[in-house]
Amino acid sequence: MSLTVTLVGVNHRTAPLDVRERFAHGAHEVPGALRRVLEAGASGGVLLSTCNRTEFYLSGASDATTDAVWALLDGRLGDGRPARGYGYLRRDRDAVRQVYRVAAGLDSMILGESQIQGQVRDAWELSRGLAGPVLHRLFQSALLVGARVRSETALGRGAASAPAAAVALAGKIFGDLQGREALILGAGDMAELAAACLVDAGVRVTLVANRTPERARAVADRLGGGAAAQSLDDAWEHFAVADIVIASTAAPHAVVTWARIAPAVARRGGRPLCVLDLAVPRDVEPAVGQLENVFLYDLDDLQAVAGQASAERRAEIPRAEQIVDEEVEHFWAWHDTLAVVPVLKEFRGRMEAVRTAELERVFKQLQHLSPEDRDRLERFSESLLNKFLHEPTLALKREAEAGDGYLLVEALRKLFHLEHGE
Amino acid sequence: MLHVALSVLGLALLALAFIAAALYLVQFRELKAKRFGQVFQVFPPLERLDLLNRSALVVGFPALTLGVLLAVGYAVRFTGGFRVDPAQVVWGLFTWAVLGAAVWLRVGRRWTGRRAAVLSIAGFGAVLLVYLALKITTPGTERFL
Repeated sequence: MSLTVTLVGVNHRTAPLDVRERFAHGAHEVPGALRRVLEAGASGGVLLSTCNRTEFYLSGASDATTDAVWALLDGRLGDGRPARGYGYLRRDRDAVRQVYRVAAGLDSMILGESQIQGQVRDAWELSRGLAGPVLHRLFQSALLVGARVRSETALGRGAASAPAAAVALAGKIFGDLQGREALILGAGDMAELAAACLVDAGVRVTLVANRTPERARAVADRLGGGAAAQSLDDAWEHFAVADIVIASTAAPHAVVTWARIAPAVARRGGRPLCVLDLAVPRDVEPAVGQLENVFLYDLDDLQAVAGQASAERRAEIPRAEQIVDEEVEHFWAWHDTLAVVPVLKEFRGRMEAVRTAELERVFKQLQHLSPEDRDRLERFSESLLNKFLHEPTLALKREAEAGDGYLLVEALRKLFHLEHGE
Repeated sequence: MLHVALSVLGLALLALAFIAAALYLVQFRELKAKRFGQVFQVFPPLERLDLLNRSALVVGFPALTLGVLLAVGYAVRFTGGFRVDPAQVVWGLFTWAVLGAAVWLRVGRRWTGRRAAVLSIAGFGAVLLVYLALKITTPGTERFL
């Protein structure tokens, strides 16, 4: 049995979005794709497929197996271009390091983001029946490495993307976001993304207002929480009650003007209002930010918050990489012990066969023995064998963990004419 | 001794309200000016500071009032009255009125945010000023406050 770990993959560094899109596998496609690859010869496989990466982790793979992966990806690309040109192949320690780096968020587009942790878990679960013992252990440990990096370094701290920055800014004004009310103006993707992040933090979207009410309805339904949908002109009154306003209309000029909202804001009684203008060109007149207790931020501000967090996260890379390196060695030590297991098993089996054969012979010669004596003799032979094998077994496991198991395995194989371990 | 405990508690809470208000004003300025530096990251959120200020003020003011009233009561009962400079009484009442006004505006008129923070700072400032003034002009009578 070959115990190599091989990774064949494509990620956001090596392939553009339109290529990655074609490689992405939905959850229902994963087992089928894996089976196809494993048929080419491998003892286990896990497929990790997100919008930023498609990675096949294989144990005991041959060149034919990696070729099968490339063939499968060629097929998905479908235009004659070779998928190989967009991807990479990693083996053993490098493959292990890659899955650890991925789980830690070191290989993510947004450094240190935590969503990937769940995606790694999902991939492991989707591939569970096909993973095999080596990859099972690898993915289990990858999740632990991800958790370790996040708890021991600041790699996951701060808000490193614009939507996360929106949540962070609102949090610095309101503290707890649970039960806060948000008003969405416009139905742009960015607004929906930021609103979804706020909803995750406990904010309730009470109203979506858009020039076309149908789109407002669609966004409101996706955000849940029973949000109402309205036209823009009816939205200004709500500036008196909402805590957070997200604006991202497609209007060519500012629609949220001082004149339109100042009367409503005056009725707030000094309660702060957080206005996030995510539109380009901007939706909110700068004068709105002059209103007492109105905190107005545009996309550049969110990017500034995110950029700062990113810089702080980047400073943590060396510490995170060090943890990954440590854990790779840890896994590899376990992996090496795995290689001696079949040899040990065969060695033990061989000795066991000798023991039973010799016992048979003795019993034939000593027919007069009572059943109790035969029993005693049997147990004596067993304990003798165990005592003989105890020290060598421990030594082998110890050497294997230290990475020097190969020499002893080779010696054992030669001394006892064993088949495994080649 | 209850009057001492109440007065100390009241003053401590007023000091806490003052600190919360000061942090509020700094964080407010940073957020308005879109400066996302150390203050932005380390200082607590605005609403939390506002709530802390309000709670400290609303509990601290009655505690201090009760403490002073008890002190006066004890003085009258056990020492048969006391002699104070009328100026002290006037300034004491002035401080009490400023703090009372602050509490009334916060609770009765639902003032929040920046003006509430400024108000709270003014109230604590008045206490501090009168305390220091009395300490300098007539040593030994500051226990009155």
